[in-house]
Amino acid sequence: MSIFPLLFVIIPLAAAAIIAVFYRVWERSGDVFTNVANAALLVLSLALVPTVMKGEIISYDWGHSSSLGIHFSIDSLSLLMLITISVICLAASLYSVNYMERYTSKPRYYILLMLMIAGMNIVPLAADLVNLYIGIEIAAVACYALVAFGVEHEYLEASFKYQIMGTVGTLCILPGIAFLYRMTGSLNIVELHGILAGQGLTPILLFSAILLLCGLGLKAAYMPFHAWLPDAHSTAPSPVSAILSGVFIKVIGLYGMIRVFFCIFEMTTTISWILMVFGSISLLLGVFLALGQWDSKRLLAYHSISQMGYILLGLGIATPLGILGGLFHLVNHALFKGLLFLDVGSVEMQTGTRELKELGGLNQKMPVTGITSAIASLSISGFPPFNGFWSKLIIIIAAIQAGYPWFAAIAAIGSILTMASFLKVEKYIFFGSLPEKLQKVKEAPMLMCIPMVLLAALCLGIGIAFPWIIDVFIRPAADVLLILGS
Amino acid sequence: MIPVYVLCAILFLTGIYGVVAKKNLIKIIIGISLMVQSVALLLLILGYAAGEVGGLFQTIGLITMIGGLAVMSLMIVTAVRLHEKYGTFDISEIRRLKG
Amino acid sequence: MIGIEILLGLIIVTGFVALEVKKLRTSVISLAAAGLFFIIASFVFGSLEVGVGGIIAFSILIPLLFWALKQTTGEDITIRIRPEPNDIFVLISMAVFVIVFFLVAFPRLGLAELGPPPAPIEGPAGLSILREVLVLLAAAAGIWAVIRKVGRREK
Repeated sequence: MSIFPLLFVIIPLAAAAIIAVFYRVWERSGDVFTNVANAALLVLSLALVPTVMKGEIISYDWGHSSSLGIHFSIDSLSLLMLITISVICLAASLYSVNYMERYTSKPRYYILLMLMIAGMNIVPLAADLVNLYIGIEIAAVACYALVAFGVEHEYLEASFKYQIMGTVGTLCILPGIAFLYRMTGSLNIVELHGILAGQGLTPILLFSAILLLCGLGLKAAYMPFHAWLPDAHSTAPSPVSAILSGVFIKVIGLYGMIRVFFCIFEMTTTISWILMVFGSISLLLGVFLALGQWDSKRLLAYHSISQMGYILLGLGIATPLGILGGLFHLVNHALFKGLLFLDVGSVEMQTGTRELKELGGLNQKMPVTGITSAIASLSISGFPPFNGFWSKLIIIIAAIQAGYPWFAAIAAIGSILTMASFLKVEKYIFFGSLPEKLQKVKEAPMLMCIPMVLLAALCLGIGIAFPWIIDVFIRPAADVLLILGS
Repeated sequence: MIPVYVLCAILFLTGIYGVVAKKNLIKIIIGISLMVQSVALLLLILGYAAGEVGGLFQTIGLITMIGGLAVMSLMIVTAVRLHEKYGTFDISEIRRLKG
Repeated sequence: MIGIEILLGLIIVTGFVALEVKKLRTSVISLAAAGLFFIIASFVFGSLEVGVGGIIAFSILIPLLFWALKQTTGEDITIRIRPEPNDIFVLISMAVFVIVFFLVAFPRLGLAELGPPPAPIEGPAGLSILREVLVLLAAAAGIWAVIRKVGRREK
C-alpha cells in the first residue's frame, strides 16, 4: 500500500483545478502549472524505476475490495507506459506554450490536456477492468474536445466522426467486460488470469474476447477500424497530435489489448495469429495509404497506423524476443512520431501551410526543425544507429526465429516503403529550392525547439545505448507478460 | 431469458442501424443513445437473479449511463456548432476532410 | 419476466420511430418515450442505481436535444435522399451479418445455461460515483471549449 499510484492522477487533476481557478488572475498560470505538473509526473515515474523494475509491485487500494473502490497497481509494464506518457506529454506541453498562441482561450486547452493526461495515467495504473474502462472514457472525452479545439469546419467534423467511432468502441468494450465478469465473478486482472488459467475458451468467453478486440481495436485504430484516425490526428493542434499519435492510441487501445490478451486470456496460437494478421494488415495498408498523401500531417497519421502494426506484430509473435521488440518499438514510436508531429507543427506555424508541394528548402531557414526531423525520419525508416532500427530488427529476427518468415518479409517491405515515404517528406519540406513566398520564414521560437531537440536526443541516445535501455526498462516489462503467458 | 437477450441484441442493432445508415447528425446521436440503453439493459439482464441484480452489474450499468450522458452531451453541442458552420445536419454535406 | 420483454419491445419500437420520422421534434419526443420505458425497465429489474442514472441522463439529454433543435432546424431533410449504392451495400452486409449472428453464433453462446450470477456486493457506492464525476467533468470542460465562438487567431 503506497500513495504513489494515486499521485499520478492527483497531480494532473490538481493542475487542472488550479488553472481553472487562477487563469483570470494570472494569465500565464496555464503555461506554468501544466509544465510543472508534467515535469513532476516525469520525475515521479523515473523515481519509481529502481524499485518497480526489480519486479516489485506498488499498489494502492481505496474502498471496497471488488472494484467498487479505486484499485491501482504499478508493475514494470505500467511504469514503462507511465514514463512514455510523461516524456511525450512534457514535450508537448512545453511546445504548447508558444504554439497554442494561435488558438483562443489557452486555459481551457490546458484544463482539457490535464484531464486527458489524468485519464491516460489511470489506464496503466488500473488493477481491474472497471477502473481501466473509466480511464479510457475520461481520456477519450477530453480528447474529443481537444480535437475540436479549433472550432472551425474541419476540427468539428473530425471530432464528430471520432466521437461516433470512439463511442461505438466503448460500447463494445463494456459488454465484453460484462460477459467476462458474469463468467468469472471477478474484474481484477490478476484474479481473472488465475480463474481462466487452464480453462480454455468457452464460446461465451470467445465472444467476450471478440468484443474486447473490436472495441480496443477501434480505439487503437487497427485496420479495418482506422477510418477516424487520419482525420482526427491531422486536424488536432500539433502538440495534441503528438500526444495522440505518440501515446494516446497506445495507452487507451493497445495497452488494454495487451492486458486482455496476455494477462487475462491465455496466449494461444489462435490469438497469436489473429494479432499478427491484424498487425501486418495495418502495417502494410497504413504505409501504402501514407505513400499517396500530400498533406504532411495526414501522411504522418497514416504512418501511425502502420507503425502500430509493427508493435502488434511483435507482440503477436509472443516469443520473448517478439514481445521485447514490440514493447521497444512502442516506446520508440512514441518518441519519433511525437517528434515528427512537433516538427511538422512548427513548419506549419512558421509557413502557414502543411501541403508538401507548397514547401521546400526549409533547411536553410529552420535548421533545428530540419535536423530534428531528419533524425526522426531516419528513426522511423529504420536506419542504424537510430532507435527505430533496433526495434524493427528485433521484431524481424523474432519473426524469423519463431518460424514466420512471411511476417518478417512483410515487416521488411513495410520498412522500405516507410523510408520511401519519408524521403518524400524530407525532399519536399527541407530540401530543394526555397519558394519565393517562404523567403522570410524564421526558425520556431526557443520553447518549441527545446522539446524537439530533447526528443531527437532521446531517439539518438536510445539508439546508441539500446542494450542498456532494454535491460533497464524494456526487459522487466516484457517479463510481466512472459511470466503470465507461460 | 433467451428472448430477452435477443430483444437486447435487436435494440443494439437498431442503434447501429441509426449510426450507420442515417445521414442526420441528430439521428446518429439517437442511434448512439439506443445503443447505450441496450448495453445498460444487457448488464441488468446478465446480473438478474431471484428478484435482484447481483454483483457489480448495477455499478457498471451506472457507469454506462454516465459515460453515455457525457459523450452524448458533447456530441449534441458539437452537432450544433457543425450546423452553425455548414448550415445543415446532413452528414454527406459535411465533407471537407478527404482521403 | 414477461413485463421486461414488453418493455424492451416498446423501447425498440419507439427507438425505431425516433430514427425514421421526418420531424426531428417528434423524433426527440419518441426518444424520450424510449427513455421512459428504459427507466421503468431498470426499476422492474430492481436496479435503483441504473434507474436513477437513467433519470439523470434523460432529464439532461432531452432538454439539450430540444435546445439543439431550437438553435438549428426541426426538419430532417436527409430522409428524402435516395440511398446511394454504397449505403445499400452497407445495409445488405449488415443484414447478412445479423442473420448469420442470430442463426449460427447466438445459439452456441450458451446464454441459457450461464449459471448463477455473482452475489450482490454490499459496500459504499459513494466511492465509485467519484470516478464517474471525473467523466462528467471532462465532458463539461469539453463543452466549455467547444462552445467558443472563435477558435483560432488569424495572423
